[in-house]
Amino acid sequence: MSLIEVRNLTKQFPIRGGVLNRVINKVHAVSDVSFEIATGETLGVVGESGCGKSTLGKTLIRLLEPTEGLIAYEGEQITGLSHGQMMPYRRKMQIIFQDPYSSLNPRMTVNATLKEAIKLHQVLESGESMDDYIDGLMKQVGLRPDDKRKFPHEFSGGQRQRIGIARALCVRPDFIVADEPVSALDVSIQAQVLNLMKDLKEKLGLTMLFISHDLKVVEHFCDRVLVMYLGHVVEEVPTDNLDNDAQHPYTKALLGANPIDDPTDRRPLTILEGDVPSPINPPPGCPFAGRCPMVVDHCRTAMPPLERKKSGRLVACYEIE
Amino acid sequence: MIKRMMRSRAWRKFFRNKLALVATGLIGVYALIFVAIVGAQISDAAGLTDVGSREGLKVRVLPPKWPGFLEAPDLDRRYDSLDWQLGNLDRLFRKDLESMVDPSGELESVSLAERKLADVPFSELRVMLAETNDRFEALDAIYGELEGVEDSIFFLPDELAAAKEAGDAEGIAELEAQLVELKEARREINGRLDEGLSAVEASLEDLMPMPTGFGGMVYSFRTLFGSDVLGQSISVRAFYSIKIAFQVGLVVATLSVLIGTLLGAMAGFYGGWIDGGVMWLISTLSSIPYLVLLAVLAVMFSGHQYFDNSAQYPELQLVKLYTAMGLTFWVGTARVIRGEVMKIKELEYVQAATAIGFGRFYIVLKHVIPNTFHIMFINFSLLFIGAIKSEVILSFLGLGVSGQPSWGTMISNSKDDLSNYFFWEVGAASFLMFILVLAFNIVSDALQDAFDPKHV
Repeated sequence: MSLIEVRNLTKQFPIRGGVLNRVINKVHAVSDVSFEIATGETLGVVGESGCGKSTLGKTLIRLLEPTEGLIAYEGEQITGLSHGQMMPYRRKMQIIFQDPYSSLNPRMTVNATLKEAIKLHQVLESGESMDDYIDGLMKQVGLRPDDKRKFPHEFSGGQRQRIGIARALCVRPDFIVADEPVSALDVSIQAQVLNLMKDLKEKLGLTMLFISHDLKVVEHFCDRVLVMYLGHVVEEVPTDNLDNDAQHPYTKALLGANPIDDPTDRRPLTILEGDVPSPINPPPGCPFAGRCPMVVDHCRTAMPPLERKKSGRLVACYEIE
Repeated sequence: MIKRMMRSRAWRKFFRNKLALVATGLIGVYALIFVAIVGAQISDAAGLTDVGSREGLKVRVLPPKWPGFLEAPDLDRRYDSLDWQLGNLDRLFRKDLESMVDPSGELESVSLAERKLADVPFSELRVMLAETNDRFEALDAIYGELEGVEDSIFFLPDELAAAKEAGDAEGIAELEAQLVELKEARREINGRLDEGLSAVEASLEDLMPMPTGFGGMVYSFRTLFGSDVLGQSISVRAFYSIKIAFQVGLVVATLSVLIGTLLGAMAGFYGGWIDGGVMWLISTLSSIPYLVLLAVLAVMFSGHQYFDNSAQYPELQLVKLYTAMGLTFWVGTARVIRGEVMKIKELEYVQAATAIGFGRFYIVLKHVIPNTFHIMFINFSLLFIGAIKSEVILSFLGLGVSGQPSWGTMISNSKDDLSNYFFWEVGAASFLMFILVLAFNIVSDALQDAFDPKHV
């Protein structure tokens, strides 16, 4: 059974202007996205900067209100719930942010940050002491329990990200949105934090939406991956054999841009030409049409639907059978 | 927790700034004086002590407009001073003291700004006073001589001009010789007058010796900056004015920062019509000059039982100052806080708090406003001096306090004496204000340097 179900999710940001401050335009951040995440599964989302990955993640846990579409958690619709009705779901769904430097309140100790959330949701079982619980959390994310008395500026980037993970875990969530959790870290620290997250995911049986722009990280971490381009999902691929399974020309281009870890190995280089169209006035057809090597006239007039192809994959492209 | 905060990078940077530390020390001295005066007044009001701080301000310590330290008083001033002091003593002694068996108790109470009568029997005191008076009267003869010489010197230039017109060469030479002679005579008489005055001063000193020890320190403090037009101590009044200045500064800065932070944070965080309303209020209020607003309030409160120069509640006359400044000064703080909050609310820790499920009001109080503390701090110190300067200007204009000393009233009282080269009252008030404002400017500069994220 799927834990999260998303149907036709659309998020547009209004641009206001003029004397009367009317909506004069919209940024199409996420357009008509549908997917499901099964319990215990990790779904990756990749795409270049500005393609709507983070907006998707934030809309999913209702940090942003969707313009259209439905989100369901365990079959219960959570779009349109009030603050009070949302509370139980707030506990079950948490987020880990990208920037470890702005994701912690600089005026609060680690202890205060964690305590505040634990108290709000009353996650302690009877007989469990707050100090022990927080110490346990600190150990779980690989920090010393004594560190909880420190302020965020006393930690390094990797340690801060661990605190961010502890904050997300402290309310005992089932589902976590990881919004590029390692892209702001050094490569050596990236590996540590990724391994920590993988361990925790297995130990706690977490379900995750893992947002990244690094295909290698996603391949290592996720079961399936959604490839996004300008707010649209263009392909959904399992990560078992990403290099061979990818069918959409954009996914292939992304994989081609990834450096390979063997200096003697050569492969033909495909470099995409042109730029991503503006999300304010997206072209009517496929957003990738302007850069696609396989483009046909039809692509420029109507967006190809994300449909199951002969190979059994979900791809949004007219040219793939 | 506070100890930890003090160890943060910004504070360490602040404490490395030597000049800022000196300025902080100076502000500390002012604050101590403020606390001491307020404490004395409170304990007086509670009946615990009887310092009588308000009465102490009105004690006449010196003859009117006596210069302060450094400047030697001229002969006329010295004569006036002796005249005044001996007159005071005469008045005291003319009481029916002779008929008393033991007038020592009465004599104990005779004092002139910490100067008490010498510890000798009453009969001797009377003799000493009579001698001093005689010496003083003997000066009259010298003054008579001096007057004659001065008159001649005054009229000589006219005669000289007449002689020059007539072309009387012999007359001119004679008159010029006369002038030299007269000036010589004047110098000689002035010398004798100086001697005579010194002698009277010396015997007055015997009669009322200068206090020593603590009393001496009090006496020299009271006479440090001389006396004003009523003979009251300028230094006591100038230091007492710190109380009014600090009071206005503290109340106005606290009020403005509180109102400004609350409204600014609400406007920045909630946006929409709240932001619109607050911004409208800000632009409306900043278009009203607070002087005009204060004049309106002064008219509103004039003649009021409590708020207008009530002798019973002198603190209440400051209410109109607080209201006018509090209503207009918060605008700047609100504007800066609003901008900062608009920045902070997009930060990820605010989003994380939302994701955890905290309400918006809680997030503003707990996560947003604490991160604007540095702005509140800097604004507080800027508003503090702003309020003090405004209070001085308003008191100078007669819109502020009255009936109690303030730097503004001191400057306004003695502004006419400046043309007579009597700068002590204006000088003392301006000097104390200058030091305070300078110290606060240095501190707020250092705070800005320490907390500015671009420099950290």
